[in-house]
Amino acid sequence: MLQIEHVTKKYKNFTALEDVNLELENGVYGLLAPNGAGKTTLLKMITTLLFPTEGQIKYNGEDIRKLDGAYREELGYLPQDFGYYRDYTPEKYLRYIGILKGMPGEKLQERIGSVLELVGLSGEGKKKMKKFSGGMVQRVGIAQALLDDPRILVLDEPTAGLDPGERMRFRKILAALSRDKLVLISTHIVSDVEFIANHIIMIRDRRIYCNDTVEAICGKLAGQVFEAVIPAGQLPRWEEQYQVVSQRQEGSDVAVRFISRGGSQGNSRGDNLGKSSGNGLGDNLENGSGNGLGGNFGNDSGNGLGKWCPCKPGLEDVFLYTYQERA
Amino acid sequence: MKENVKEECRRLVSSRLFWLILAAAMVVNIWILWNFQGQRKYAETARNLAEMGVESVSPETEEKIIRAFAEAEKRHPGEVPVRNMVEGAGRLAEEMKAQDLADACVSSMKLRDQAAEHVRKAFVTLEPILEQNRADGTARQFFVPCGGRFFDLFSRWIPLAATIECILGAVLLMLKGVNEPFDRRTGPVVYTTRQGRRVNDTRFLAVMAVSAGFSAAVWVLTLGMAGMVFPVGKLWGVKIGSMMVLDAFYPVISRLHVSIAGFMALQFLVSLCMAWLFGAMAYFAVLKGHNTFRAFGKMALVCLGTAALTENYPRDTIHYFILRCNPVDFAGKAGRWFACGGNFLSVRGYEVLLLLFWTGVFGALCICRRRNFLKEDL
Repeated sequence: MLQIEHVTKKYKNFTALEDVNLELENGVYGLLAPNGAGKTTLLKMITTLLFPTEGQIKYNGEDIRKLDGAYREELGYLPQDFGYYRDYTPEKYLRYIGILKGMPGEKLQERIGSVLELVGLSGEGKKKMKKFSGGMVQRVGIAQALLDDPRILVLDEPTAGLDPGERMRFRKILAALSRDKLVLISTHIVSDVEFIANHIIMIRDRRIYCNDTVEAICGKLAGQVFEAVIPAGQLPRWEEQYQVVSQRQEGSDVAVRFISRGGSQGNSRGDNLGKSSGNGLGDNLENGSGNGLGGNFGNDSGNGLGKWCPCKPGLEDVFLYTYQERA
Repeated sequence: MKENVKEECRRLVSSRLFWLILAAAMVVNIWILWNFQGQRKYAETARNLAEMGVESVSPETEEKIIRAFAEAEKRHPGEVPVRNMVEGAGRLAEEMKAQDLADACVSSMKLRDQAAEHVRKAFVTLEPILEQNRADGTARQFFVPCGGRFFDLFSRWIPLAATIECILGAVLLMLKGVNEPFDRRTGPVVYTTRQGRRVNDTRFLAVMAVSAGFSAAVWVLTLGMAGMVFPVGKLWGVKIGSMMVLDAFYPVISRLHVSIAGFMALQFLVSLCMAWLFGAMAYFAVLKGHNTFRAFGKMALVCLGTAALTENYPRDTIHYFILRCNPVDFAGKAGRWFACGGNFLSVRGYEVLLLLFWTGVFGALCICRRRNFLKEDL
């Protein structure tokens, strides 16, 4: 459906993206990377706001620049920085966007009603948007992206400003839409895409770092994610040695979730904390060995470092593993 | 496309900016009319004379006109008395020579050497026109409906104010209309719709259409108000003939065989063309950089610079007249457009040629900039 072929984007002396290759079909794709990694640049190129310095983007085999309006007709886009008309009501705003999208009058009227209902704003259609909360405005943004029932839906940080209830509603909408659409969601909030995305695309060092299913990506860290309860005083040392992805105070102890980069020969505890070989996921998740910590977990040697429990790796673990060390 | 233009027009007309500029323009024009309200009695007298069949100055009507105005006359300092004007008009109609007008023009514009010589040569071409006017009686159609100040109101202040307002309206609406996606940060949504960046074309056309409506509103409302303050009635139908004779060196108006109403309509058309031309300049200015304030500032600076250069350019060379063909100076000639051509270049249709030339220049620049905009990163 959408092919991104050897796309590079340069700004004078700065390269934002380099040799990006992707092939996207129907389904939900989560574009996951920290801020400044090039997510928005990639999305802007897909939405024709930016043009690649090298390479090309094709839709059904044709260059999107040549397709021009015919391509954009299939496109719905919610930008990260969603500008709107404060004095407009959602209905008026959607009507205007619908006209720009070339929607015929009757269909437009019908679609305005249904998208407003879809985003839970059917009762607010006639209120001025200047009175809306950030979350409500974002919902109007989602509504405009969905207005013409696009085949390609590009959402840049769509859940920014939404409360947990709104996020849940949003995920449901996307799940329902993904059957016959290509949905590309860019975010640095892992939970936004972990349960709805069929594929996760990660960008690192200006290139596509991985492009796989959530299960496959998480599988690369299998056997390397643990939870342990340790004395609070040990935490700094622990953090030096392992990649602590979360921590929670429990009385005088701390429950930590961490990724061990240690090899199977090291027990990664006590005196051996500093001897981890750190092969972890390798340079690329595709090559990750996932050797974990051998048979040491589950034991408490009584040296005060607590009990280790292996955990099922989550996308957040992968995200933090991939990017935290670079922060 | 048609639907989109209509929608953009609706949005512009319902915008606060549109009504704000229109209201401001009306306030200024009402203020101008207010300053001329003392002329109301003159207008009524002139209308009464016209209704009695006195529509031009002749030896038979001179005394009648002077007597009629004697009651209404309340002279302002420096204003020429009606008697002098009427008597002078009669003499001028019969004895005016092109060289006298050339001398008046040279003195008024402080011209020297080559420039003065050029004007004297140019005015020679007026001699046959003046002769013809005398022969066919057009020169006699000179009519003084009121005092000189009243004449100034219609021949200078209303056209000048309305033209500046129309230009300002077109420029501001263009800046707002075309740059709105950047000002309001709606670009990423607007430019990724089917129309894409061509939304700007739609907006450009919409601004042009709305500018026309705005200009029409300014002129109609102003003239309507003027018509109420100064109920000149059938005087609107008086042929202008050589009525501008008394306005120093602008007799070329006698080339236009139109009524006062027709003359005002022509003024409106030129004013509208100027508004469109400056609108296109604004489009050109804002399409690069996408900063409304900077574009407006740049335009203001360039216009002020051009005006200053024209004003201070040495008036002893013919280049001065070439320099005066710039759009800023042309806009400043509002009310005297049809008079200036014969004086400066002696080209018939000077106004149309000038407008076509600058429309061509700015049209080409706008097309280039549009092409770049379609290719640039947003």
